[in-house]
Amino acid sequence: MDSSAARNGQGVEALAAAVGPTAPPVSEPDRARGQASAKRALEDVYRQHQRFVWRSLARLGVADPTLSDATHDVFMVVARRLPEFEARASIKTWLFAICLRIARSKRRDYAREQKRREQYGLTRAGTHADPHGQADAARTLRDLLQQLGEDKRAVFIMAELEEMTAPEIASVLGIKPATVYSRLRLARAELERSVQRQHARERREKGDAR
Amino acid sequence: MNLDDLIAAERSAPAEATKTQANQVWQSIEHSFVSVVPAVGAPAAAGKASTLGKLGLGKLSAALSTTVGKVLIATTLVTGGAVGVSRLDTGDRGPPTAESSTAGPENQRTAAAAPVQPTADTLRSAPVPGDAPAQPPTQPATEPQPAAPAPSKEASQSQAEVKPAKARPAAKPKASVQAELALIRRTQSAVRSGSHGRALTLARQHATTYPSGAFVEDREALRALALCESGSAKGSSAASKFHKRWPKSMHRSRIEAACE
Repeated sequence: MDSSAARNGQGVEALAAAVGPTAPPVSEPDRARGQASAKRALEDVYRQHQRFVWRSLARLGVADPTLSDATHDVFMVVARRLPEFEARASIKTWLFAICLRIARSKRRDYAREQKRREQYGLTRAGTHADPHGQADAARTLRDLLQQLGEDKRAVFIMAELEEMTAPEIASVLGIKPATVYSRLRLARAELERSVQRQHARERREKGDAR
Repeated sequence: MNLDDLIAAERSAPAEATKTQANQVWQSIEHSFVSVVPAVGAPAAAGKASTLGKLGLGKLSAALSTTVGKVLIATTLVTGGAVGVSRLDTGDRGPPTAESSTAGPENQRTAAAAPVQPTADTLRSAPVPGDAPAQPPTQPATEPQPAAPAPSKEASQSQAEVKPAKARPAAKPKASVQAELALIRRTQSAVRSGSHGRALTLARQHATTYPSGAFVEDREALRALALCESGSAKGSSAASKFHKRWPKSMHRSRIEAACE
């Protein structure tokens, strides 16, 4: 693990060295040094990849109010699981795999919370002021992504938005590269249809307004 | 706009944390890391961590919680020889009964602090008021010790010393109450902002650090609220335990509203 972690930058290497199972927690000074070093390294990872984690969680359907919470959870897992990190691909793909699990859990929690809020009439429907503006277009895509199945959504995000390679995606999801291509094709087709449906709806609404 | 336009828009304007949000999240991670970091150095941690991926978030939180407790014990055991006294919490950590060199910088502040009992006024001025009956050590602190990583002969000796130390009555240094209050405030703001996972992590941290602190009732109230508001199945049992223990608590109505 040590050699492979070294490929992923100094921060990760230092964190791996500090927290790895081979680090002997023998003396208090060593332990204190290890803790300080691990913390610095985690901070490096956070500074370098926080934006990636945040946007990945948003694309994976984590609701805005819970993004901070989810990001916190991802990095707590990072702090604890680094000894398992084998760096088969890159730290980004490893982080994405953690994001997938955290997002799944957060979506479940959020759905329960929304259900509870609906019972009390607390839910507020979200609207996009300008569906053709850049930020709203981005949000529209994130909304459409939520209509995809989880497998296709993950492939689409990694391939189209993060520009990861098929072998990298395959390693994250534990599937064959051919399956990655197939899911990507299906995801694109589904999203194309969703976009067309949305255009049709917008045209109808405009017609009704006249 | 076609799909490629939407993709281009998302690439150029993805969801992004504000600087404040990013800093807040880091502070929260940093705080939790202080409690969790001994675990990552312990041999058992890797094995324990391997189960995390298979668990849901609730279970992840629970796993972290128990690990924190075990880890604190393990840390004490590992360094017990040098410490001489194996009280788990020192300094900021609730009622200090002994000094220890095992903890982080926070815990080294209170050796000289004058013991002070929080008054009703200080408690009332807190954002989460309520009188604070003593609480026996909570789950993480009383986790069965055989599960702690790397037990050794010396460790077992230290372990034997841990038990009587826990029962000692203790004074509360000013710094400890302030630090405890700060932790409760962070927990409270996490609940308010809907960051239930973080709130639960902080509540567990409080339980570990201040097993019989001044704000145990508030912590348990916040924990029950976080569980209920997150829709966790454990919410109702946390609420009923709370009501049983503090039947006249001022937090009662809020918990009832959230957990019904």
